[in-house]
Amino acid sequence: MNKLFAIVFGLILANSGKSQQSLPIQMDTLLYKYEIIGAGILDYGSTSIQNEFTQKLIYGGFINQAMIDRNSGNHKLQNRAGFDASGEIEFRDYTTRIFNQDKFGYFVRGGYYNYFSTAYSGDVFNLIFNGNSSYKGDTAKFSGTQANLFSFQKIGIGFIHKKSKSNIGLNYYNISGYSDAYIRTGNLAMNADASNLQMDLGGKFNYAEGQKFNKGWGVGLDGDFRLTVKWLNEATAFFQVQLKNIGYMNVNNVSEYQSDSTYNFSGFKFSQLMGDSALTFNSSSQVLDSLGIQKRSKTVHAMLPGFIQIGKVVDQQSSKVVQSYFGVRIFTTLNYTPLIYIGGQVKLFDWMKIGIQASHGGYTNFRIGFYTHYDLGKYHIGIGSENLIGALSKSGYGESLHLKLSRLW
Amino acid sequence: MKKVAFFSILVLIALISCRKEATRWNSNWSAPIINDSLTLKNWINDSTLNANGSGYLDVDLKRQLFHFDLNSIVGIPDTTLQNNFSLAASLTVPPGYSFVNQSEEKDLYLDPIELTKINLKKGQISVLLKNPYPTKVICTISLPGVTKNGQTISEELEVAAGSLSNPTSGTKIIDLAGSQMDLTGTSGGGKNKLVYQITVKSDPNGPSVQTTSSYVTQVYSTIQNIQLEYAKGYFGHQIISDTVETDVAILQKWIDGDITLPGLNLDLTLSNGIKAMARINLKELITTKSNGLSTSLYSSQINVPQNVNSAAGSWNTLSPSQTVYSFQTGNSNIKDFLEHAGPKIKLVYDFELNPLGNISGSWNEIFPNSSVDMNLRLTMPLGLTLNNFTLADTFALDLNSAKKQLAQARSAEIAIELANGFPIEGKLMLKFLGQDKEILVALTDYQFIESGLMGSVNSDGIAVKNSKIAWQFSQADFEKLTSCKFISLISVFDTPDPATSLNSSVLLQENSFLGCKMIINLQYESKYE
Repeated sequence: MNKLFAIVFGLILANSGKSQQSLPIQMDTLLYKYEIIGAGILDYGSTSIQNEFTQKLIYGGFINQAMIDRNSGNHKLQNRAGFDASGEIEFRDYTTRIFNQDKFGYFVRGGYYNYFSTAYSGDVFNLIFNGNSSYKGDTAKFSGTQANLFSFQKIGIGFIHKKSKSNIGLNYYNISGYSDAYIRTGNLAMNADASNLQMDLGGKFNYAEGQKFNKGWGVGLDGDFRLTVKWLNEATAFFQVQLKNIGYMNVNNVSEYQSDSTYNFSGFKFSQLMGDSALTFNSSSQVLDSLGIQKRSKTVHAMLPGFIQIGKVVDQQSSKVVQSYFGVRIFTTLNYTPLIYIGGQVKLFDWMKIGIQASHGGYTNFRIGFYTHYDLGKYHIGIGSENLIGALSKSGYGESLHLKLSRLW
Repeated sequence: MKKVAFFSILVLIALISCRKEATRWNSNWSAPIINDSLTLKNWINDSTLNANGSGYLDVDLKRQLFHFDLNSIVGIPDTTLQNNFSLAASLTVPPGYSFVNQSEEKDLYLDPIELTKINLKKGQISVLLKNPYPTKVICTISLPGVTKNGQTISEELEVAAGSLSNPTSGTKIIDLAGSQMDLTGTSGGGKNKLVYQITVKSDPNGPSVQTTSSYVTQVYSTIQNIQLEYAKGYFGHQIISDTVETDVAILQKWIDGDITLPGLNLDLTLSNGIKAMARINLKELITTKSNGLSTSLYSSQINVPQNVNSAAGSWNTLSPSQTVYSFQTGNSNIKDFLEHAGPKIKLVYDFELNPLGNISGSWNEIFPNSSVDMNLRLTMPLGLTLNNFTLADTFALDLNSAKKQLAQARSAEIAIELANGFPIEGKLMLKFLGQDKEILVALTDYQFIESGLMGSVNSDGIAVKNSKIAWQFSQADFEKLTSCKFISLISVFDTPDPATSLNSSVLLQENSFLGCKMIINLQYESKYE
């Protein structure tokens, strides 16, 4: 069993595992000595791109025109998409006395996080996947397009209330990847025979240069606060306020490309292509200058993409067969709309529970989720998906896999 | 049941499989490439074309065929003069003793040129002295006939003590730039004679030294890097025979067809800026086409020497003489010559200076702005008849660096819209060639550009006809283009009369133009790994 635990634990971490954020936290007020927890998430979603398309983007393959046309038709004026690939490992020591009090223990935690999110117009999708030919005599509009990508790792320490499991910790972050783009004004107009292109481009793009793993640093807080309240027909209900990666980051050597120009191009003059006056570009900076794009290097000071979730959680010790859970989740800096979720857990056996939930928001719209939870002696395993339709159908708008594994002593 | 639960976890994790291939999709892109008009306006008043005031253009082509200036006619080569000085007997030399005090007149050996006076723009005399005496010596070099800024040139050179077996060398560079040099020698009536005086004395503060006749002081004076700005004298009876060969690139591309020109006039003018009589003989003017066929210019003026007068005036008032050869259809085959002109046009000539000898009393002169030039001027109405006139232009185009992009291109159409305001009809064909000029991709169908005369007249009075050309490229074409090293454009021109469709003479107008809009429509496979 221990060997199997080690294998599964390793796989969770290696695959950027899953976190506990969708699986209802099992509120457990029993006292233990130690606990080790591994959790991870692989979750992507979109308001407008179906899985058949996303899977080609992720796993490779040829995207045919019919697929492009179907997904192009799904797009509206504004659309969202994103992914979250994250994993954490945590060790809790309930035997040590913190602050000279028996009720507090401590924990150490490590994790890594990869987030991508974007808000874009349907014309951006069309330009990328259909090209500009379909805009002859028309204008592609992409004002308001945003995209960002964060990759970072953390190590943290904190203290934990032994009974309620409420905890708070301080983290140090290594920023390994950062880019951020915002197009304030973006239009590409073509006349009917494509003999003239006009592009209005106002916006900027930040990108952390270099191959170094350490591109910056950050500090932040994690917190998990459990509240006990009287709740309808349930004698006692537990509510959770969970904070993750709420903090600040400092990214060095960020190249900022900024444009606020209108470009009009109707073709080269013969003298620009041949002869003594022919255009020549000896470096990329000359090309940028000719396009009116300014480049500068800077240090970015910004908020980490923090996570906040508030909701009711299920009680691990409850004798009830059915329990409810619900809540709301937000990310602080991503193109992620507040996600609300509501669900119910059914205890099939003492060692096995299943849950089903509905949610709306995040990177996509409406989703149905499902999970199972196993209590196998000292081992506790949770596996689930926040997007059951996505897991079963290529017409879904994302996929989601959440895992959690813990061992208690 | 517990085993099933664990197994299901492992299966789910395994489903998160790695990428197996690149993501690919096709997209369609359109963009303008060229939007411009070709006109003849850049060549108007640029030594090529002139507007004749009636809306049409005349050719007024002016080019220089050859040119030589003062230094190529009266050049003074680098010359080294050597003097050896020794005492007649053995003696003890006290401090400050003068071993040498000698005035020399040296011939510059410029035959057949006999110069009496020159002004130097640049030049030097490099003096090398070898001292065998066991005491320092002081050498003074004076050039009594050479003045600079009104002063006679005189320089000192000190050379440390040496020995018979190992003389000590010392050098001195005397700058002659801006100097005037009298070459009449000590008598004042000589030619090419440079007078200089050398004194060598022992160190006034040194020891007395014992010498014999074996002690020889060697002085080498090298006159070098001379550039003249004025020369006077007799420049000799010189014959400069030369061949000038021009390479007219556009004619190299003419591979087939005929061109018929209107009446024309070709003047070759020799301008003589030297104050000396001369004679010019245009021995041969011949043109050779790419296929090796040659045509010579025949005229009573060819291979017949003509006298060339001396220039008049001097310095700022210098006025070169002009000797003109004029070729028209009435006195030569110049029209036929130009209608069959090839890329190589060769002119063989003799230029003879002072053909009658020294009849000027040695009073030839060359000034800073003196030169001998042969200039060409071709004048004719800009009109022509083209009959299957074919130009083939091949230039390097290495597409290997775009291999990746070409591999992802699926199809393309290059659409060209032309507004032809020239009375000329054209056909275009494009070929992409490999390393050995083998054809990789040939857009074999000639694309037709109709003559402007087939269209309607615009507000500038120019008849304009619109045409469209479309070149299609398939994916297979793009695969072949990765080996492309050259591109060949073949153009065939005619000048059909709209009424008869027969080629006839047309005149090109001042506002004639060829408007070109080129647009590419490309299907491209985007790919990321």
